[in-house]
Amino acid sequence: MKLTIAKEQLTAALRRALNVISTRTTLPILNNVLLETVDGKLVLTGTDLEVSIRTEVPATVEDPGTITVLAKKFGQIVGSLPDGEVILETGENQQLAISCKKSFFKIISMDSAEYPRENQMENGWSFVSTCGELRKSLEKVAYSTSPDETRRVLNGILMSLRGGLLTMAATDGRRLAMVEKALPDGVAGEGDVILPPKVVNELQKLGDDEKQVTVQLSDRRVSFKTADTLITSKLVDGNYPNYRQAIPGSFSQTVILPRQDFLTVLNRVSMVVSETSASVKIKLEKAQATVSAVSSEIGESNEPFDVSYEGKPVQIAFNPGFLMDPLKHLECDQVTLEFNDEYSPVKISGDEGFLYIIMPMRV
Amino acid sequence: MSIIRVLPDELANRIAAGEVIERPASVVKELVENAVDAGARRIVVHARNGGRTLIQVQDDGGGMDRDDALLCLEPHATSKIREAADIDRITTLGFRGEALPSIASVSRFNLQTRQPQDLNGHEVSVEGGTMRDFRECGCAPGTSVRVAQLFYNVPGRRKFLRSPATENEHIQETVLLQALAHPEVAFELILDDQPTLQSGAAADPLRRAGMLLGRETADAMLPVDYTEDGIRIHGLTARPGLTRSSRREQRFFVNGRPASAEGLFYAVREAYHTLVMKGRYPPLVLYVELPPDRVDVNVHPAKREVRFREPQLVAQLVAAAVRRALRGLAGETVAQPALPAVARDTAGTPAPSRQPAPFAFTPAPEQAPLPFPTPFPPLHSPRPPAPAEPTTTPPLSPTDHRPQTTDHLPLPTPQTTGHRPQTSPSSSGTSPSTATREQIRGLRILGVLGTLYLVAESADGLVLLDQHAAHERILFERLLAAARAKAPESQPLLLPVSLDLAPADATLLRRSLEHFQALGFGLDTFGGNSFLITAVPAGFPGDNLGGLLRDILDELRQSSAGNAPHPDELRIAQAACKHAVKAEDPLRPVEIDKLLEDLAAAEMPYTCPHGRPVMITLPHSEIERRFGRRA
Repeated sequence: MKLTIAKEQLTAALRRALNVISTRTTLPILNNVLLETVDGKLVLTGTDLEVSIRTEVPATVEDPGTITVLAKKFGQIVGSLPDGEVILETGENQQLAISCKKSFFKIISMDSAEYPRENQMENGWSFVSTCGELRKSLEKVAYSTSPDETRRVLNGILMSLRGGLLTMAATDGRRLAMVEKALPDGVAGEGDVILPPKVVNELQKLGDDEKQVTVQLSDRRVSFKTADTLITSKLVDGNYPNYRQAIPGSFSQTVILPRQDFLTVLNRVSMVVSETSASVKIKLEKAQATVSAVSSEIGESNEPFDVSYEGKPVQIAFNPGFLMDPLKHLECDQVTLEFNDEYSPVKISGDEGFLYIIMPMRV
Repeated sequence: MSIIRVLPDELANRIAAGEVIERPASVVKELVENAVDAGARRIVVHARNGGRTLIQVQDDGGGMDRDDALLCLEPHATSKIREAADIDRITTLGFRGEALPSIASVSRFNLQTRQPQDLNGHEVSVEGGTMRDFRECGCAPGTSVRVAQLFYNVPGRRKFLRSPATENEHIQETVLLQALAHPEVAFELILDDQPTLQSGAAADPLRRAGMLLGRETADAMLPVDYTEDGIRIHGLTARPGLTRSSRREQRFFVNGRPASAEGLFYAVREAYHTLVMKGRYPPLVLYVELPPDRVDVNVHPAKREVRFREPQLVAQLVAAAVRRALRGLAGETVAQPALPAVARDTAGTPAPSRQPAPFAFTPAPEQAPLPFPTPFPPLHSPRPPAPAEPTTTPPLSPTDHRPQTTDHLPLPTPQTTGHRPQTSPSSSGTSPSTATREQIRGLRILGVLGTLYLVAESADGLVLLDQHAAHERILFERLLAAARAKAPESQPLLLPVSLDLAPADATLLRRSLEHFQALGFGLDTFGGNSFLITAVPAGFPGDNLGGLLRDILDELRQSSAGNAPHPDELRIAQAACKHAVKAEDPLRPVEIDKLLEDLAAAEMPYTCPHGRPVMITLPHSEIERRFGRRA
């Protein structure tokens, strides 16, 4: 193998592959990155057997070939090279020579035949979106996933395709966030998959917003393919809880609040919240909302602001973090809070297709 | 022919000896007590071969004249009481007149005594209860008793004596107890010609305790001093973390007499609740002083036990005194009794109070109050800035609490804390709890040992802090605070978790549902042995709720070995944090700061709810010693 490649492009591609390559693994080959040549391109692959990333960069290939090298060290070396053209060449004894301007390295490699490779996904259903859409949808729900390692399904994000409607949902059992979107040209197929947290992370840095991404799903695997990168991942086994039953069928009261103001006030007032008094209270009166908090250890705080509300006076307690999470990730100017009383689930909506359900606290 | 006859004195004495004189140490005890009653300023005890060969007790007390020297060997001859009514106001240690004749009946006994004003003294020799010799002699003022060949005529007893080393230990403990009981008397114990214990007269019991227990132990103890209702409890009690594997070092003195009553040990256990592990006992030296008519010392042949006229009251006061010491509040005397007037009757069986007040101590476990019945330092004086003037330490006087609530979780609600009376004098600025708090805040974290222990530097030396135990403690107090607030904040679940239990667990859970709810858990019965977890306490780690509930129930069932468990909030909270806090990933610096801050704010930062220590300090002196920089 012999090829020439721009240092910047190699660095960028390597960084992407390095994300999934673990340095702590019992299988030494997984510490490596796989380098292959395909007509005019260098293909880098990294995997931890759960998620794998395969990314291509243009290169001048003189001599095709394949090699694997220790990913971390290779990354450090490439990162330290001066800007310019990098020449990669395999020599005797399976060594990789790296030269750039006057610098020269020769590093040892492992047998590339051992490197685990992902088979092309053969069946399933697919749809096309953009990296930006995908990233925003994931961001709007990802904070609601549960860190509880004993309930693996809740660690991930549910991706569900039904009647041309794509739903992403996440819940930790206390709140639920979901985004629904109609897919452009009525994609056929129905199914639910649960994306593991790791692939959710990777997807959020998949590429520029406008870049097209093809999502392909089967009941075992999922893949996301852009022009230069393919991410494939295993899915979380198990059944996602029936989150839809937690969404009340109707609400009797509605209040519209300015998102940014609401967030700022919440942030301020919740300064006095402590572990034993972990709630903020929202008191709604005609055209006014008052956010207040009190804790015996710290003190108290309150702040009113204008809202549009016509219903009867009511006070509802919330975990401030749970309330601020969606507000931070939405883009709209106004959010709508809907509820029936201070004990039942409360709905927050704003951005198109977004829905958040939160249980009030009992104090 | 009649078969009942009155026993000859000699035999009667031997029988009495069987009760009073169990072993050489009993002889030492009786003789030392006599010496103390005789007004001795200095008592020297010799023993040889575990006291089998020789016991000698020498004092510089009042001595006896010729007649008394003879009479003291008659059964029930005593100078200490004269009529029946005196029994109710006994202030001397002995009073039955049993000791000397008993001892003399089972040994070769020799007594020399001289009153200071007399020119010569008298010597009596008795063998196995039979007078051998009586003559005048020259001797120092005071009394000296030699007991040789104890039990020489009672082979049965002799056989049951333990090794000299063991008997020596008993003698040592006996002298130690007497020395603790009578700080004003100088003591010397010589075992097989080796000076074993020497203690000059001390001004007060604390100083004496310091001399006798060793500096290290004494330094690890807190002073106790609490007076209420004419009863004074004072002495030293172990700081959390100092424990022993037996009760032996829980030493009680009632009116200067080493003695105990069962309720006292229980009271101590209550006071240390959650601070010591099961099977561990904090050492302590506690003096209970009360008018003689409120205690009956004539209960046990060797007077090792006493009976209080108001056992429950005394136990409550002991528990209160120890708790206050643990909070660094020793030395306070409450003007107003913190206790509700515990209904008292002279028969010694107080009417059960259905409303245990803050310091209430009730033996029935179901009623046992939560472990920190004093109010939290309310608004925390938003962290006392510097060690500062005494007024910044939140005064934790029991007078702070609201008068007589009907619940048994008496804690002020935040509303009442605003105008609590600032009447009680606050403890000195160096109260241990404040010091500990400042110490925790002042820790400089050096790193993490393994994944569990924080390594830190304090002014005293190297500190190892068990993250896990610290978390448990913080969570535990948070849960209990919520329960005491009567309005636990809880986070209802959007997706309730279902729980199918084994019948035994289900029964247990059903029975304790209200306690779970008091802590902020929401649990609904779901038919059969199924339940739904619908809410969790605010701020509670929410992982694996089903498994957690099962673990808690398991723990509750096991801890009540055999008996039908009646878990209360306390036990549930203990079990809950044990299982909710898992082995953790290394903490980030900001999380460490948070942990220390939370811990410093904790009421009892020293131990986890199960009594394991949270922190271990390796003092500079120890480090220097190990490196050979200091002898």
